[in-house]
Amino acid sequence: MDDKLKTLKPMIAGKKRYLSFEIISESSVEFADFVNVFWNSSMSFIGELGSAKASIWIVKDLWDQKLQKGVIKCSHAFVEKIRLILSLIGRIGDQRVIVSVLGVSGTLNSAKAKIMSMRDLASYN
Amino acid sequence: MRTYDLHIHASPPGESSAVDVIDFAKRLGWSGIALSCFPDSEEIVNSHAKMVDDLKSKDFDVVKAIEIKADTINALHKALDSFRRKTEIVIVRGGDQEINRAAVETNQVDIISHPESQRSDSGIDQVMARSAADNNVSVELNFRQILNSYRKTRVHIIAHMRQNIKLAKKYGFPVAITSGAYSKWELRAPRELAAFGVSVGMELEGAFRSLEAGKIEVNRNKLNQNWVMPGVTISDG
Repeated sequence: MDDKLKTLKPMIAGKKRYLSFEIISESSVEFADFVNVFWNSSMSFIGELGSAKASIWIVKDLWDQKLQKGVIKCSHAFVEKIRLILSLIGRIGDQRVIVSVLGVSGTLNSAKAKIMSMRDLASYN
Repeated sequence: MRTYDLHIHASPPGESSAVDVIDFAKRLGWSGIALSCFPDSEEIVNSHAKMVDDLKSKDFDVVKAIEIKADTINALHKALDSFRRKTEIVIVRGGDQEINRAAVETNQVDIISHPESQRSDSGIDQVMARSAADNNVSVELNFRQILNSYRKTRVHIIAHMRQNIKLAKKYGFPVAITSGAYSKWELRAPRELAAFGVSVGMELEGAFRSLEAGKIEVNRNKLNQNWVMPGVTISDG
């Protein structure tokens, strides 16, 4: 028998937002390194309780290693704080980085669209 | 909306060249930036002004700024008398209580930079807050202060910034959110700096307003040869 729970109704689960972001750096960054640094930044800025309230989920399937773009899911009340947590990341490993938010959306599909279609900051001239 | 980061140091004394900083600022979506230098001598200010003029382009504005590091009130006034008419934005490095007070008591200063730095209080009291509002001196929220600090130090800096935002709401002095960057890697996008403002207690609308930098146009008009006083200019006809 499948032990998966039934999906909660949106009213009970709470509103969520998807932040699509891009990592600007001199050479490409591994997803695992980013996740590690992001959680450190989150723990140091909003703590364990804050991170739990923010319902943070870094969507692994949407990480684009080539474009260095990804998506973070969070509670709608914590969007500004997650932006700040991302902007407080200044270094991943030995590399200096800027994590820039490309956009915020209410559904996963529009977050995907933002990653695929928004201007590529690295190719800006 | 045109957004400006009003406190950036390119090399020297920063790490990255002015061209690199401008390139990154464009990528992050800024309409313009102010490049600051320390006015240790008149030659430095003149060469900095020339460099900034050369970097201006149609699609990206670069503003001349100086950051005055004064140990005494006399040194501050001397620097203001010497350089105010040569630059578009004047930033005074805060931290010392006497300097903080002197900076907000003159309308020659545009921004007082991190008044809470190295202090056990926010660096602004209600008397200074009134003066800052009367003289239209912006109090800076410097993102670099929290980017490069950790744990207890960061907590104190954020607490002092929150205190200054409370005073800004009560007394109505302007706030300037800046990156304070010394390197292109310390730059952040306008929306990220607005999120920083919101996180320390500002309204989102107020945070955007503090990135608009309406002072630049006013100061540019004042630097015009024909400007006499507010509302009075000499016309050529």
